[in-house]
Formats: sequence, C-alpha cells, structure tokens
Amino acid sequence: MPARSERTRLVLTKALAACVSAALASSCMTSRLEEAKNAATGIRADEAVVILATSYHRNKPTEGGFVDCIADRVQRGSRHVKVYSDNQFRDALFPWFEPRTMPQTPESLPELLARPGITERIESRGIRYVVWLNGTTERTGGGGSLACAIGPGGGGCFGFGWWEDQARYQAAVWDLRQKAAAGTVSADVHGTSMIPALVIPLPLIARTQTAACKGLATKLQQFITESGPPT
Amino acid sequence: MRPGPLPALFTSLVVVACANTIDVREPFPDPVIESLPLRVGVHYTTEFANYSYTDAQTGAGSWTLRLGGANVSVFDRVFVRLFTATSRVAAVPTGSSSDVDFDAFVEPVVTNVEFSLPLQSHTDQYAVWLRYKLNVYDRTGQLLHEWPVSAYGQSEDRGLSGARSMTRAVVLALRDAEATIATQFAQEPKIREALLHPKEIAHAGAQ
Repeated sequence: MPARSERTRLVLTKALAACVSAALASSCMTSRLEEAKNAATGIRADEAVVILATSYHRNKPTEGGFVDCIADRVQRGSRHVKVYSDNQFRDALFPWFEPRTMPQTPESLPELLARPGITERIESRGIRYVVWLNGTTERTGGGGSLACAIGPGGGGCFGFGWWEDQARYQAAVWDLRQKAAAGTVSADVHGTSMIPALVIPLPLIARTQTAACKGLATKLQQFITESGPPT
Repeated sequence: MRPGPLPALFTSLVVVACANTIDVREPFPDPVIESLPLRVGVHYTTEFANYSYTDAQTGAGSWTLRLGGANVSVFDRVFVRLFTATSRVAAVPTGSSSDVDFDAFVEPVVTNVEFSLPLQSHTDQYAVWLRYKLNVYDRTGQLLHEWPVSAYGQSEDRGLSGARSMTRAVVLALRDAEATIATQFAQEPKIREALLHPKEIAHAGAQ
C-alpha cells in the first residue's frame, strides 16, 4: 500500500507540473509589431547604436528595466548589433543629451552635430544610430476576488483574480551619418493574467513587457541590419 | 517600572533604519562647449560648500541630502569649461577698486531644495528639485545679475534601495544644473549685455 500511495503522489505531482507548464506557456497575449522606414539603413561591424529613453520632461518615463532589456537583446542572435553604453554616451556628449537639452526632433540633428567637438566624439566611438525608446506598460483592468486563509490545520486560497496589462513601446531610429530619421519600430502587446485558486493558487501570468521587449528588439535588429528600401 | 534595554535598542534600531543620508560622490562630466572669453573669479561661500538639507517629515523616515561637495564639484566643472580662465577667490571684492586679473566674479547660492518620495507622489519615482541663484559681479564687485537656476532630476524605484534611487535623482538634478549653466549662461540678456557685448566690440575693434 505505501508503494502505491507513493506512486500515486508522484503521478499527481507530474500531472500538476505539466498543467502549470502548459498554462504558463500558453499565456493569454496578443501582440502587434509595426515598422515604418523612411530611409535605407544598414550597419558595419565596427559601428554601434546607442539606446536612450526619451526625456522625462516630455513623456511618462520608459521603465529603465525595459531600456536595459532592449539593449541586451539587440546585442544577441545572428543579427546582433553592437550597443554603446547610454551612460558613457551621455557623459561624452554632455550636456547635449540630458533630459532638458536632448534633441526633440530629427530636424534639430544638423544644428547639434555642427557644434564643436560633437561629430568628432560620435565618430570616434563608431556610433551610427541613436534609438529613442518611448512607452510604458500600464495596468488597464482587473477584477475578481481571491481570498487566502491559514490555520492550525493548514491553509488555502479560494477564488479567481485577473488583470490586464498593455505594453506599448516605440523606438525611433535616427541615423547620425545621414543626420535624419531612419524610421520607427513599435510593439503593442496586450495580456491578461489570472489566478484561479482552489486550495492551491495557480498563477497564469502574461509577461507583456517581456514579450514587447523580445518583439521590439528582434524587429529593431531587422530594421537596422537589413539595408532594404524605405517602406 | 523602568523599561528594559531591549525596547530602547529596538527604538534606536528603527530610528537608524529610517534615517537616510545621501552623499553624492559621483564624478560629473566636463561639458563639451565653447569657452566664453572671460577671466572669472569663483567664490564659494562656506554655506554653499557645506550645504545639507534634511526633511524629517516625509512619512518614510528622515532624509538628508548632503550637497556641499557635489555643489562645488559641479560648479567647478562647468566654470572651468565655460570661461577661458577661472580661479577660486576668498571673497568677492567690495568697493570701487577694480581687480585687473578678472573680468567678473560669480558666486552660486542654494536657494531651495525639495524632493518627493514614491510614497508621497503615488508614483514609482524619486524626484529632486534644486534651486540656485548665481550672483554675477563685475570686476569691481558690483552685482550685475542674480540669475535663478532651477534643476530637476527623477529616478524610478527599480527595486534598488530607496537611497540608491534618491542618489540617482540627486545626480540627475545636479547634472541638470550643470547643463543649464553650460548652455544658458551666455544667453542671459543681462550677462550678455554687461560682460559679453563689450568683449565682442573690443574683439571686433581689434580686427
């Protein structure tokens, strides 16, 4: 009997693990990736991009974690692109890329690049593109009811809770060599997360920001490395 | 009954845990700007060089921003690049005798410091406002202009300690002050009129 009970527990544990994995893998998300290309792009192996968040004086600040995620992912894979550190870039070109002074439109690039020392500093670092990230992940809805209790005999949760997140980000690519905007890439991911609980809560989390990061980074690599015609 | 040592120890631990002191030691960048043709004497008052601001009524413990060292570091950086020559002076001259070594004197003053915590703003941001007044004197020590300089910095709470996020917000505010002075000093009408126009006219006359 003890052997059979042990086997049953093992089977139940495996089934539960399989259920959780399947549920997590099929999180409820929809995503849309778009690009608009104004000019032909392309990048040499010795050239780099710098990825900056737009000014917090202008927009709601993009999460620092998202900027880091994009910078990390753009450097990976077969279409990897070299990324120059945003902090080193700001220091090297101080005070022209601070939140108050950073260029707001690509039309202001020629004037900025004409300032003494600016073009030399950009060229000596091999920086070809500036990628401006804008956007955030917002909670757009939620509901349900979930209650947990614990007592001397044990504990458990009952109920159902859910929430929706919307991750909307845009990357504007400026070509420093052409002194003009090359285009934009955007990601819009909507996800619903839920926690059904019958004694044990089973969280089914939609990782909308991570999905937006993966999608936007891949699209950005494609946008920069493929020297195709404007769309 | 006298309270034992444990409650006192607990209280002191809580007080220590809730007292946050921000002391910025980060180096500040040199601005990439063209120097103005001015020889300037720079005076830092003791109050400016040791400036510290404390707010104990935040709802999240006491916060002290020690800005003195960072103030001097930031203003040194910008003045060295902004003017062709700078020297520290012990005092701005008074009286009518002109100092032939300098075209002008500058003396920064902190006029106000404010900050907000995520708990207060109901956001995930630490925010810092710094307000300075840059007193600009001519070579005789006559006050030419009191230029107000406002600076702002914010940093999100990224799961770092609150002190690290606040330090980042202070650093960004100090950089904002440096950037404002670097890019706007020569645009201030009173400064242009009193210090830069005479130089431009003299330069044009020499040519």
